[in-house]
Amino acid sequence: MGHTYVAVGWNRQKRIYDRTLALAVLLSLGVFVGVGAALFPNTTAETLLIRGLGTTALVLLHVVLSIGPLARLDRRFLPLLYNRRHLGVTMFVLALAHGALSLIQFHALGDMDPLASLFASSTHTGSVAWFPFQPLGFVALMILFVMAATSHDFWLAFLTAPVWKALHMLVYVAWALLVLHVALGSLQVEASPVGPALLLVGALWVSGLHLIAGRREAADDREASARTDDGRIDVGQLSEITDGCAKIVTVEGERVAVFRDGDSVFALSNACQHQNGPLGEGRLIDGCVTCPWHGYQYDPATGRSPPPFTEAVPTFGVEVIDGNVLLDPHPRAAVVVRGEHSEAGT
Amino acid sequence: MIAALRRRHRVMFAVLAPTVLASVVVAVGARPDRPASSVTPRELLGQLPQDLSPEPAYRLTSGLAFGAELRVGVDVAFGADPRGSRFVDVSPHGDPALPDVLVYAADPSAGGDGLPGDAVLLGTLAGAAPLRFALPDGLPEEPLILLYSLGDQQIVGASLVTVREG
Repeated sequence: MGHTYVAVGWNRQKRIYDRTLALAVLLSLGVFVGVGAALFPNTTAETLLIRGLGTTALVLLHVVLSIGPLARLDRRFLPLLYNRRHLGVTMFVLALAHGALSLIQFHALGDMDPLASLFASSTHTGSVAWFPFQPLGFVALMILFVMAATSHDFWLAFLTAPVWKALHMLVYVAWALLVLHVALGSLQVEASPVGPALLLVGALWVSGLHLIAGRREAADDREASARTDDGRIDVGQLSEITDGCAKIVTVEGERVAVFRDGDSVFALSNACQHQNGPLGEGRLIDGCVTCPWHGYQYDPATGRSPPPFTEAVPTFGVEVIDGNVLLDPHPRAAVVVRGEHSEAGT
Repeated sequence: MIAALRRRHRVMFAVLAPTVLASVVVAVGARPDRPASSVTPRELLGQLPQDLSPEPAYRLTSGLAFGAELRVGVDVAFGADPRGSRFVDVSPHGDPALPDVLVYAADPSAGGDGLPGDAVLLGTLAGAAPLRFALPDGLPEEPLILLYSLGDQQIVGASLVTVREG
């Protein structure tokens, strides 16, 4: 392998984040088990724990799935993206505990292999009430396992961000399977309307957020930029770009971030090499383009991360003529500086 | 490449969102009038009814004799859907307040004080919730229904008199 494993670098923010997360999980489990024991005193501790772990994991999954589209729709949610993977791994651990305890409770005490029993205990796919809902949860758990196991940056670098992201988009399939797992499982053995209402609200929330965010992204992708006679992209007036920030333009389906630094402009791919975060929504900090997701930085002129880091993103030729920013749509490694015009990237 | 991922995301949610929402609505809407037992014993494999019917073709109602430990009444009603799939509804009048109450069906001719050797596990009671259990083939039309506390290791109730309704 061409990439070496580097242990997670813990810092103060990560410790605070994880302690808060651990407290929230313990609080959720405690409230669920405590209230459950008070309302249903004859329910066994195992059952309460299984339900509590599953419920907490499902709520956490909805939180994880909400962060992405919320950050796309409102920049104030961007900080939540930082360490989102900690939420995901925690959610997997809770789901794994729920699955393992369920397997022991319901399938390990007979004379059949527990996993075989899980798949064989009901074959009535034509029945809603007795639909085999447990295999749905098992398949979802396997997807979550793959995601948790590849959540480290080593796998991100090894697989490359596009492949890694494509793999992790399976979380949407896992979410769908888990919603069905609950709808066809625990909801079938209770008559209360509270469970169905909460599940439906959660499904509507996640679906709505992703559909709205996706629609907005599609509109941005369709937005065609004007071209000059020589094929360059007319980005617009330099004065329209806030100093230290960028304007994002779409070039043949992909996005390019055009940054302004005083009277200079730079253009580089909008996709951060780390997780393909939107560089154009970041800012120039200490002279470097800084990704809003995890703070990865790039020299705007070369597209390279400052040493000792080795990440790099493509740059594009850009120049300003009569206050108008023109972009060469072909990626390149350096920025051309042309004679009497305002220099680009200098 | 990133544009391709955005397209994939849009396609996935265009498919998943309506599928998931419709499935939840259908699953909730199709919940039986009384919740079904979540435990499906291995002995019933291949013998369960294909679906539950809210209007059984017939219903036999029994009282339930209960031992000293079971302090609530329990109604037991047998039925079958129009396709002939048989079930039994077990309706406690309150929380049995006993640990891990299992529901068994057995041949009424079985004797002895303990759980008959050929008793078939139907599922577990869930507090005071009325539950419907599928009945496997091979049992009499009106089997003996036994409530067995796994925690106390004893039978706490057995079905008695039968009255045919409708």
